Order: sequence, then C-alpha cells, then structure tokens
Amino acid sequence: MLEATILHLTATAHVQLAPPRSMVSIAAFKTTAAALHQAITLPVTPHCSLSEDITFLWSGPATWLALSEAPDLESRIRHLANGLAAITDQSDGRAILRVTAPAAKLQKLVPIDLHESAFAPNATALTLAGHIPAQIWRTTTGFELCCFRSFAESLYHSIVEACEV
Amino acid sequence: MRLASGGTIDRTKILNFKFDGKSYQGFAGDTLASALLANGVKLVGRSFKYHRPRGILSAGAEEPNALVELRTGAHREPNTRATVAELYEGLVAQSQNRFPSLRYDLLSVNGLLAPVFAAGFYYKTFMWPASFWEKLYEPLIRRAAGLGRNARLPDPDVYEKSTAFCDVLVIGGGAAGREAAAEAARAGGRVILADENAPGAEIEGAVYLPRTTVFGVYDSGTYGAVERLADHLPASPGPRQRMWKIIAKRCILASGAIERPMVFGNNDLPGVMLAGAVQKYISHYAVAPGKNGVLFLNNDDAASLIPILSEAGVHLAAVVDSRPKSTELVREAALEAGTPLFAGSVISQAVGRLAVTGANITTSRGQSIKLECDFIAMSGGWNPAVHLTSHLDGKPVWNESIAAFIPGALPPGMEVTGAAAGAGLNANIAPLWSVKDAGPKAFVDFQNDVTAADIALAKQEGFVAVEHLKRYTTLGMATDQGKTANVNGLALMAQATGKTVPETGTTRFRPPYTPVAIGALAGPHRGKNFKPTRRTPTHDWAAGLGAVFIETGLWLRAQYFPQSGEDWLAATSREVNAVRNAVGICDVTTLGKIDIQGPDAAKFLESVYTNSWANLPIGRARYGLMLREDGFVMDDGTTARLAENHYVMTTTTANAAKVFQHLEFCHQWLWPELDVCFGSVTDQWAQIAVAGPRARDTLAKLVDAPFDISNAAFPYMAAASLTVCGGTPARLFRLSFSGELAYEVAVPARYGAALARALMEAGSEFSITPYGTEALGVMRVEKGHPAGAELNGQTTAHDLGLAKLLSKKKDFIGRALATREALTDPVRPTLIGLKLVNPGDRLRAGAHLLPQNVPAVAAHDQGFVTSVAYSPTLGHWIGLGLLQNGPSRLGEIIRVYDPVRNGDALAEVVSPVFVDPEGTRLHA
Repeated sequence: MLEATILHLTATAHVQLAPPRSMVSIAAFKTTAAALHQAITLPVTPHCSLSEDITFLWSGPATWLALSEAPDLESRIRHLANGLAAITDQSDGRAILRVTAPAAKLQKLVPIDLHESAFAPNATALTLAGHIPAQIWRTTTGFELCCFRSFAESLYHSIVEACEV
Repeated sequence: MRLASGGTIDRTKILNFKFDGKSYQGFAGDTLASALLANGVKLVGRSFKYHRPRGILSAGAEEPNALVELRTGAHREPNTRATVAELYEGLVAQSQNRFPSLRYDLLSVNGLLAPVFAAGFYYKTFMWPASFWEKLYEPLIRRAAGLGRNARLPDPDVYEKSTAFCDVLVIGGGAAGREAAAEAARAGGRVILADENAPGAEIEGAVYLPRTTVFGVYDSGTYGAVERLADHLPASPGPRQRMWKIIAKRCILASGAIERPMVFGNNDLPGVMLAGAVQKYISHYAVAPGKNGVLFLNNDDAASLIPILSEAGVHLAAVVDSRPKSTELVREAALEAGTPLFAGSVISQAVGRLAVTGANITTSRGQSIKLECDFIAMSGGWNPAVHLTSHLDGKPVWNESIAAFIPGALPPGMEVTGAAAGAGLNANIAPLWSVKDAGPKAFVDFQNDVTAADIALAKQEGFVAVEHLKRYTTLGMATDQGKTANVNGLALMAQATGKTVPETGTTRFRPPYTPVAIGALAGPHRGKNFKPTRRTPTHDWAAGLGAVFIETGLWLRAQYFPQSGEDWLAATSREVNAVRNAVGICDVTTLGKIDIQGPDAAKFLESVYTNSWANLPIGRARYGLMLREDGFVMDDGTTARLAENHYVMTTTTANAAKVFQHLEFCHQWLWPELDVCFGSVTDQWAQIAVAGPRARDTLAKLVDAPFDISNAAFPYMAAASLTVCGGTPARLFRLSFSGELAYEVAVPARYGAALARALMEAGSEFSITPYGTEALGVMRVEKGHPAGAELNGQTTAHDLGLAKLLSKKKDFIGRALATREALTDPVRPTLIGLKLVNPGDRLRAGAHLLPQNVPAVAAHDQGFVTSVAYSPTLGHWIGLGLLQNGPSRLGEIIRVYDPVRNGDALAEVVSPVFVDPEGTRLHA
C-alpha cells in the first residue's frame, strides 16, 4: 500500500481538523428513490441523523453525505443500497474542520443565521465560509465545516483568523 | 471659545492634538471641530473650486467644509469631517486643498476669476485643441481643484466583516430610536440598535452598535453598516473597522433631520454656521463659536437657540426673521433675551475676509443695516434624513406644511419615526430659498462651490431637470452628497422654472450614505487572501523539488522544475525532451472530474456532447466536445465508461465549475425527467500523467498483478479500475495530451504524494523527469491540440478542425445554432500552424496575420496567433493560429504583424500538428 499523507493543520484553541472519517456521497436515482428510503433512513430536510455509527447529512435535493469512523463505510452502504443510488467514495474528496468558537465568530465568514433559534442542533446547510463553498452543521460542542479537500488550508486559515482574534 | 461650565465633555481628561502643525488642547468627548472652535480656530479649509476660506458649518456627518486629512503616513485619510472625528491624544490633522498654507492660499486668486469659473466652465472652455485635454488641461485642473490627498500607500489597517441577523434593526440612537429599540426589546425578539455617535447608555435586551453608520439599504431586508472600532484611538492592534451585513425582518429608521442653510451673500465665510450646530456646540461641547452673533431664521424651531446663548453668556446682536411679522414665540424669546428683532428682514451679505466680521441686513422697508458680529447662526428649516428610505428607489414626498421632503414609498419592512418622519419640525416655517439680489457668491452647495447664480445659469442653459442640474453644476456630488444643499438647490430651480418643488423632484440617493473605506468592504479578503487557494495532493512534493508554481484559477500548479541555473525556457525544454525521449510525470488533478451515474447517464452524455456516446464500451474513454447553446465551443475533455451506467467526465481546469453548472442546468431545467446523478470527484482523486516512450515500463512496475498493461490488453483510450503498489485502489486511463505513449493514473488523494514518489522511483532507471504546465503546454502546441487560447468562447467546432465530431444522427446542445451559415463559412479564421521563415525571428501570441504586400491595416487582418511555444523537438519557435481559409492555404507565406511589441515577420502556414502527425507514438 502507498503511504497516506494526512493534512497537517495545527489545532488551535477553537479550531482543529476533525478525526479522519470515511465519507460516501449518496444520490438517489429517480426510479429507485422510494426503495432507497426503505433501505436506509435518510433525513429529508436539511438535518443530520445518526444511525448506529453512521451520520447521514442532507446535502442537497435527494443527496446525502454519509460519515463514519468505521473504515468500510462504502461497502456497507453498497450492501444496503447498491443499484438504488449513485454511491461514491468521498473520503479523500473532503476535509472537515471542528470549531468550538461561539457562533458570532463564525458569522464573520458564514452568511447564514447560526443563532440557536435559526440553526438548531442537527441542522445543516450548504453555504459559504468566506469565499469557500462549505457544508456546515451544528454538533453538541460547536460546528463542523466540510469543504473540498483542496481548500482545506485556505479554509483553516480563514477560520482561525475569524475565531482566534 | 470654551465655556467655563456645561457640556458632556470630560474636563479631567486633557488631550493634545495638532492642526496644520500647530499644537492645541481639547478634552475627551470633543470632536476635532469642537476642539478647534474651543481654541478659536475658525479657518479650517479652502473651497473646492474658488479656494475661498471656509470654516465649520455643522456639528454632524453632513459637514461640507471642515474636511481634513487625518493622521499621517499610510494611515492618512483625506476628506475626514472634523465634525465627526473624535479627538484622541496625539491626533494630527491637516487642512486640504491649499498652497502654501491655509491663510495664504495662492489659488484663492481663483476667486477673482469667479465670473469665468461659473458652472459649466470646464465643459465649455478646455475644448481646444482636443489633444491638450489629456496631457495638459486635465492634470492642471486636477491639481487646482481638489479635496484631500490619498496616502498612496497600502492600507496598513486590518478590517473585519461579519453578518448579523435580527428581528428589528433600529437605525439612529437619538430619543426616538432609543425608545423604539427599548420597546422592541421588551416585546422579545432580537434587536440591534445602530448609532453613528460615540457610545451612550446600553439598551437592555438589545445589541447596541455605537460608532456605527448604516450606509445602505439592499434587497431582502439587508443593510450595510460600518462600525468604527478604532478611529477614536491613537493606535489599535485589532481591526480598525468592521463591516456588517445586517439582515433584519423589520427596520425602524430614526435618523433624525439635517438643517438647511440660508442662501445669502458670502454665507460661506468662517463663522457662518447652522443654528442647530451652534446649539449643539454650546450644550454638548461647552464651546461658543464666537462672542457676538446674529441669528437668521425662517421658522420657530431655531428660536430655541436664543435662551441657550443667553445662558452661555454669548451676546446676540439681533434676530433676523424673514417672516413678515415673525411669530409670537420668536418675539417673546427675543424680548426675554433683550435682543433686537428684525421681522420681515434678511441678511443680504455676510462681511469679512478670513472670518465673518459683520452682517448686512436688509429690513422689510428696504433699509440697509450693518451689524458687527463674529458669528452668524442660520436656519432655513430642517430636512428629515430620508436617504435610506430611497435606496430601493422609493421617492420622498414633499410636505407643504413643513416645507420639507418626508419619506414616501419605503423599502419592505421599514418604518420611520421621529424627526426622520417629519415629526415636530419646522413650526410655522415660511420657506426662503434665497434672499433677493443675493449676488454672485450666495452658496447653495458649499462642498462643490455651487452658488444660486449657478443654478440660474443652469436654467438659462437648459439644464432644468434636477438630474441635469446636478451634473451640470455638480450640486449634490462628492463626499457630502448634498446633504445641506439638495433641497435649497432644487427649490431654487423650481422657483426659476415656475414649477413647484414636488414637480421638480429630487435626485436619486444611492448607498453609501457617508464614505466607506474600501478596506472595510474587502475585510480579510486582500493580498494573497483575496481569493482562496487550492492545492494539489502533490503540492508539497513538487515544492520540495524546487518547482515554480503558477496560478490557474484558484489552483496552484507546478509550472516547471528548474534545476540549478536554469531559467524557465531551459527547464521547460529539458522537460519536453525528457518526456519525448524517455518518460515524465505531471500532476493533472486540477482538471475537473465529474462522476456520472444512473440509468440515463449515456443519454445525458449524448445530449451534452456533440459526438456519440451510447456505443462507448465499458473500459474505454473517448474525447468529447461540448458546445454552448449558441453553437460555440464551451469545453472539451475525455469521458471514460467504468461500468454499465457509470462514467467519469473530465473537463479543462479553467472550465470545471462552469461545466458542472452547465450540467446542473441541463439536468434541472432542460431534462428533469432523465434519471442521472453527478458529483464532483476532482478532489477525491489525485491524478498523475505518465508520458513518454518508457511510460509503460515505468507503470508496469507499479500495477498489481494480475493487471495486464500490455498494448494488446490495454490499448490507446482504455480505462480500468485496479490496484497499484500492493493494494492501493486506483484508476488507469490511457490518454495522451502530449502525443506520446501516455497514461493517467489516479489514486485517492491521500496517496497522491506517495504515488508521485513511487513513480519517480520506478522510472529512475529511465531518468524519469517531473514536468509542469509549461512543458505540458509546449507538447500540446507541438501536437496542435486546441486548449484555452483556442477554446476562447469565440470559436466553433469548424474553426478548430473538429467539425467531424458534430454528429449528424442525434440532437445535442448547440447543434441547431452551430449550423448557421456564418458559423460554417470557411472564411472564418480556422486553426493552422505557423512556422517562421527566419528561425531567428520571434512569434508571439496575439500577433495579427496579414497577407504579404498589403498595408498593415485592420481591413487586411485575416486572423491572429493563438498559442506559441519554443519547440525543443524541432529546435525553433512554433505557433498555432486562426487564419481565414486556413486549411486551404498550407504552404503560403504570410505576415505575422505585432505592432504593440515591434514584431513583424514572415511565416509559412503549416498543419497544426508539428510532431508525429501520423500519431504512431500514441499507439506504441
């Protein structure tokens, strides 16, 4: 096996790279959408839901991102839903940052309302962080932001600047 | 001068400051303006055009005269209003627009030439000769007439941006605004109160933003505001200002009102001030503007100044009331103060040189009386500050009873309260837009030096529409946007044309309400952070080898890998030779990769690409051409079929996002019935091109058994999923951009750097060489492949020699419009190659192609050079170009004409494929 290179982003008081997880994108085929929802319980509004050790994040109409610390996520999803959806490994295509700073700091970058009344726990949204497209969701300790892997360093620097000043 | 008691300044905190090099003292709580007045400084600037001496007119953001350069060095900010600049220890300010000094300004001679310098002067005078305008007249005018100077150094401050959401935004922290904010907070919900001024008391339950100006109203309840975090401090390590985008369900505008000057002769002399401002300087700052004043009014509101002057011990020589019989309120106030009242009278002129020394009063009986005074307080009434109500095109409406504009149609969600709505203003007002026979120097717009006579001139010249009046005279332009001028100006135009004020109307107000530093709008997005940067998985590996990087959109790509002493050309040529003679590797991760799956995937591809896809076997890739709906080429790439209903499309780097958007549009809008899903996998896979005669030998060492990489098992354009290097999942594509035997190998991005190292190791016996985008570019030019310079949005498939890719058997995007006669006319410039007749000459992209022996004029232009490269394979410069009737002119010698860069050479028109035209290397 080739050696894996891990993104090297130094953790600060409020910002760190999330622990590595498998990520799989799921996009429902029209003709089998009903069967897909039978096979897997998926959020149909912009939320995350937890099923055993897999988090399913709504990521657009009929699209989801599955996350898990388990290494065999793609094969498990295929086992449940092969042929019912486009199943694509994105474990290397995304980077996730964990932010524990107050929402007001993140509002320097994120143009949607992150107040508890508007963005409750388990809410998620596809938005921007500065100029970088990102998916954001609220966790019990703060927020997670997910971007294309190639933006990771830029996103990290932006968020650290916003949250640590 | 400073009054012995009173005011809200903190007399225990003395602050030292400098104005025009001279040191003064003030107190915490002063503005620069109040501190200057306290020190008896009346002359603070010279006017824009005539260089007339000017003083402080107001006590607020509407100030047109007291504009200074604040701070020094890179922090220097021009056109800062002294009336809003909070005083701090060590503040340094300079007056503007004067030489050599404020007192002795040479250009004040302009005042003598005033009759010549009337409105429209520049448009009429500096017309001939036309050529003199740019080089002589304009620079001279620019030097003579100006406001402050830009520091011309990079802005050293840090700025922040943020978004805030609320249920109610209250704009304005005066009595009306504070009450509205408190009430909204009591009702629950999220409330923000924004106020321009220094902090006052907090409001319970509301977010209070002092020193914050809401400068603009935008769609969907969006408001722009700037919070001044550090402008009142000597220095600050933190951000200087913060720009807010506030999204509010409701907005309450409590922006107050702005007083109108009176228009009379020399009303611009230092010491002539708005009555409300005089009141504010006394009450708030404990500063009297002089010892002996005259009050000139046309309404009851201004009479509140009379007892205030009495209490402060400032002598009032007279009250001049333009209303024929004045009113009981004014009469009583004057009597109480022991001040003479001139009813039905006006000040015709102020008198003085560098400051006012007297007032010439014309009484109701036509008598002229001269009174000595060292300040004049004038009040022509108050204008509700309606600007924000009309940023979304609502027009203010004229209210006859208060002779002022009040808000008309409001932006959705906004209501207006207090003086901004016209409440409690202009009691018993009798409008006086200008005194009679005011003379040539009765100012309407102080900042732009526009007089009542200029308005009469504009009318005479036919510029009667209020928007024309503005542009012809410049009334209402520049930093104050006519806050103290617009209504007087348009009312005078109304009078001159015999129309009513509402018939004349107002000019349109646009954001920003007051000037906003560009730095605040940029926030953190400046310098290298202007846009985000995208890095490839092999970035650090390439940097470690000394690669020079180039920006391709947001990506950083290795451009070339110079070895010691090499310049870009030497490195690039070495890399090209290495690929053509042995093997090289290049990171191609940045090309868009779109994963396409679903029962209708093939149908989808058939519709977006011009050529056939339904018959592409599993395990094969094909070149695809994509047109726009108007028939022009949008992008190209290769798409591989990995399984029955599974494809991976590639795009050019530059067009990746555009193509993805295009596919989304097609799927969502044109063919929503198609059952297909697609997603970007550009970042998921690191992709490296391995090219050259030894490419297969190199890769053979890395692919895991039992994968067969032989030519028979894996021919040109094959595609497969496999594992490499002992189990790493991978995809292999036999594609060639260089024209050599070549592959692209993809692994999940985390393994990209390790794959590069493994390839270098495997190819070391063949002297494998990393190559960058320069070498990539040279090789594709050698092969005549169209790329960005040819896919420029103006070329068609025919132009690029790709007409055979336009299927005649199916419909596809762009098919119909691509058949338009003009788009298939062979006279259109079409792709050819260029070979210099004299190898020592230079080809440059952008040079024009002309026939020989005709004048070099546009009428003979037959095309241009699109891409150029030095070909180490051939030993000379080569080019690709677009030439009328190109393919039928092979062998012809034409002229390559480049006047901008002094190029003029002859070249032979050749096939665009310079190297290996039969393509034998591809299939090796």
